[in-house]
Amino acid sequence: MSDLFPIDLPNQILLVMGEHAATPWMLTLAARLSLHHSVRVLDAGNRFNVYPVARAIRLQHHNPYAALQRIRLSRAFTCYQVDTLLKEWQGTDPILLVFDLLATFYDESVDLAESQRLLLLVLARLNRLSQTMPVIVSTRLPATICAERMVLFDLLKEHAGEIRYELHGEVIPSAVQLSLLPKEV
Amino acid sequence: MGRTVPSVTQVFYQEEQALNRFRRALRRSDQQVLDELLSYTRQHLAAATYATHVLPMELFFLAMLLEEHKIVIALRQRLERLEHKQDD
Amino acid sequence: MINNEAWLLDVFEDLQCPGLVLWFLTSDGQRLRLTQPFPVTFYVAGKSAQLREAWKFLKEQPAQPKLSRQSKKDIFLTETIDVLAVEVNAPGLLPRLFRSMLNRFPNLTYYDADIKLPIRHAARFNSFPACYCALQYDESGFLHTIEVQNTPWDLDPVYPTLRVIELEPDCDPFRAEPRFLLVKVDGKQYRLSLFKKRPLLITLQALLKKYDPDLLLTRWGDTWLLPWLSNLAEDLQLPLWLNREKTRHYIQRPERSYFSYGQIMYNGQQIHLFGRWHIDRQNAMFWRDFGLDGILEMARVTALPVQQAARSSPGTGISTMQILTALRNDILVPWHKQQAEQPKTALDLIQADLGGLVYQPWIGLHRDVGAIDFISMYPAIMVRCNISPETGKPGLLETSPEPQGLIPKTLAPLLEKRVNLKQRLASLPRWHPNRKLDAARSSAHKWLLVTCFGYLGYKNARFGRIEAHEAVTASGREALLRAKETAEDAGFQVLHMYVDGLWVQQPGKNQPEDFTELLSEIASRTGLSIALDGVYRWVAFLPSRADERVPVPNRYFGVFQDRSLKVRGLEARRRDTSPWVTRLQMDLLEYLALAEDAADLPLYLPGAIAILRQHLSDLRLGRVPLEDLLMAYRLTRPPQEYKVKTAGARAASQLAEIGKELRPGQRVRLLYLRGGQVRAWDLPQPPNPQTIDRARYIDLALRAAASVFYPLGLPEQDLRDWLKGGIQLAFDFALNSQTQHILLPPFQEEVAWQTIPSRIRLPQWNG
Repeated sequence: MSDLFPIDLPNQILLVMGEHAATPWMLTLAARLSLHHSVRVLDAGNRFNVYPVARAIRLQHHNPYAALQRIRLSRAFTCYQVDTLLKEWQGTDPILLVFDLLATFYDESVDLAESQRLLLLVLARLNRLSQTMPVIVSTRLPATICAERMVLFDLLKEHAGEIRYELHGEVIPSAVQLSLLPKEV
Repeated sequence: MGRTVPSVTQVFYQEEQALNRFRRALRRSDQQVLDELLSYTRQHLAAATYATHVLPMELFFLAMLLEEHKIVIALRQRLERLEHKQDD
Repeated sequence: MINNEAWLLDVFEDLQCPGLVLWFLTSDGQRLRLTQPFPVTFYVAGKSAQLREAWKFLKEQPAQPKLSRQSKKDIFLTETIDVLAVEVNAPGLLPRLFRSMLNRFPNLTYYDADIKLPIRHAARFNSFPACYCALQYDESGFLHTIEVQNTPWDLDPVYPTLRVIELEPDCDPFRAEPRFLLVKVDGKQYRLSLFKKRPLLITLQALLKKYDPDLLLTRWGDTWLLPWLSNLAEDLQLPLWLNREKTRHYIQRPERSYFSYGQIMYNGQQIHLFGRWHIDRQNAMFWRDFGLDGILEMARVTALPVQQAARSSPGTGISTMQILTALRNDILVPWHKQQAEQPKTALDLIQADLGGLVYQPWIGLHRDVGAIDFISMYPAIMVRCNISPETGKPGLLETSPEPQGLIPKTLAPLLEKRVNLKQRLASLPRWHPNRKLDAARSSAHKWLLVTCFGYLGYKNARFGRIEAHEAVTASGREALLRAKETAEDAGFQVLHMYVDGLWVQQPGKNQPEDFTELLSEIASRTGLSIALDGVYRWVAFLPSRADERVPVPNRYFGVFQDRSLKVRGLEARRRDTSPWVTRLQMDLLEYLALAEDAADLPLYLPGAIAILRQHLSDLRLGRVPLEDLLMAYRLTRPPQEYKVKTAGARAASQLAEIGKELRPGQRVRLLYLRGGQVRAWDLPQPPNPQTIDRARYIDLALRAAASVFYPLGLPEQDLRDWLKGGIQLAFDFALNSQTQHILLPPFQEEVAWQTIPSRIRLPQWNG
């Protein structure tokens, strides 16, 4: 974790992938960052469970309230909302964390072509933001029942500056084979 | 839209799970006492929900104390009644 | 020009010339077909360069839309926006035009693009299904004016007398091959052989022609009968006028499984007719809850066409009502919502993302308990605090100075109607013929109101907003706590609280008027209406089945002052429980309900145990019909996807093997057989009654009985031992912290049996 403090992070899209969209790791990261910085979170997969964040902060600081107030988040429940949130973004925060970016794009109630179109818009917006701040995006693979949505994941990978894999709370460099990762349903 | 933050009840069950190893290592008789303490907490989950505390476990302990103290009060009163009877 | 008055039956697109077809039932009983021109409009917003492109594109479309620039209100924006209005004369051309626009200009924002014609009509003319209208039309059936004379909010709507033909096969076609079609019309019944196909169709066609029904009421009409008849007519090349509009074929909508409140639901295929209504009782979502009266009321207040209202979820109803309010108030209806959550801090999230308060009741038996409920709490909060996507965040339970928002505007008349109906219902004597009607309608309102809160937070709701959803629950929690404090200030003990209801107790307070002051004080402290659900002579809160120490919020039974029973969360209320177990449990409860005072309950125990023995001996002697032993489990996924093969999954697999596929959300009915086997009821041959796993059913029966006996102080194991031949039953009866030791010698059961009312005591009892 220590190699991921903001000073170490270049202005680029860092893609972290893992089971449950690497959520526990992302939450710990949010906690660490919030001790000293304001943090902006876009929760695209209903992932931001505040209690573990509060516990993680509590380990470092006696008063978790102040740090929790430094984390500002918005939740998106449809891919249209992901797009709107990034479009209306006031990019003044030092760092952006996007949780489970592809969750709403994997949702089959929106047809694949439309999801793809929106994802391209979203990636362009993230790219622009990553010129001025580190953008950390977490994701997972599509469930086996919508395997054709793998193209969305590939699209995201193409746009990432760096990819890391999260396994059991550890972030592993991208050299490790993708097939090691458990698929999530 | 599904909830993002788990309910206090879910948090309680997670905390209970987290005690599994501790519980297992206790003597059977102590396990039963622990279970009873935890059941005290369950009676005050609604109040813990309303409190929206960032570390709910702190309230869970308080709920145990509360029920413990209710028993102390009841016993104290019973004792006083008995002592009163003896005095008569 | 002809003037006439009539009820509106159906509205749909005219295929012959641009406009609508409307079917009416006139005040003198004619069925009248009129046509009406009806241009429809959708709106497009976006960057002006793109809009100019869109304009050019639209100019070249064969639909020849009329284009204009207008200024309109998007509910999520403070300023009005400039939009391109696209108007087409033939309403049927709009969907295609919209699709081609969407393909070409996916980045534009679309409004009013997918609104159904009857809803557009309702918005423009204040019409609704079966509304009463003054009409002016010419000889050719061209409608010049339509004025709706009533509103959906009348407490006593005057309905036309509908002509109804009832059709149903002589058995469930998914269980066995039907042999006859049973037809009921005009007080007569016909039984037509399904094997004599030509005479069947000729007779049916003659009946349809002669009676020209407004409503075809069927069973399995959606899923089997109407498609089967229609295909047959095609094969034999015989006419069959299922539709009143003869040039139209019916609409067939496919079956589907979907999620609703975390539960998987199933809707069968649907058959919708033109010019007349088709309702399939097997497939009508709320037939069981409120029948045709409730369905008509649902259609009336939502403006959804009757055939749709019969089959839609209340969510669709609420969404339609909101769209209607928007259209009538010149607010754009987004094709899909773009609005996202305003940023909040992680701390705010903990404080906002929570639901209603659910307490744990005090387990056990309690006497003289008042149950009080806020009337439609969440909708009432939305109306009182003016909670809507476009209004500001309200203070807890506070009124707002802003103009009424879209959501409160939609809900207020519905809420008012429900409160009025409820009050009237409370004052009607039990025998009154209107009671059933009012109850059905009130139940339809309840479903809509219950749903509207969840809908506010639903991700695809066009007028949903998460902050609004959170504001409602916050005020709900505040109201419940203020009610608790009020009750405690007045000297009551609070036994239990559940989201919008409280159970309160104070020695000596056991008449409705003893609670009047409390109710009005709560109403004044919260600004919400609250009512007495009833005063319980006694009520028992049960613990969880898994752990006796753990109370569960919604598992209780009790007897009101008027001796009526309320049962929640017990086996008898579960739809998967077999009818035999349900009957047994209800018999026990009805018998205990005879006790004048909770303190007398031990006296009723011997009789209750006698009733239990009676049912068990019925089972042992094979007197219980197999149908009464059916369990009905809801499938949550396709049978092959179950990791643990539950009874339901195994039964569904049996059906799949013979080609009867069940979908998630459907229920599978089954019997437990000896050796841990199950058997799907819908297999062709019924099983041998000798193979039934009686021990299993006896176990289920004892569990259900134990739930009833538990609060009396009789533990399940003691009950089981006693039935196995115990010598003396002894236990502690606890009421209001006074404990009484009870001894029951066996002969008391037989003595008690003689006093049991005959409606509970079964005639075949032989000791």
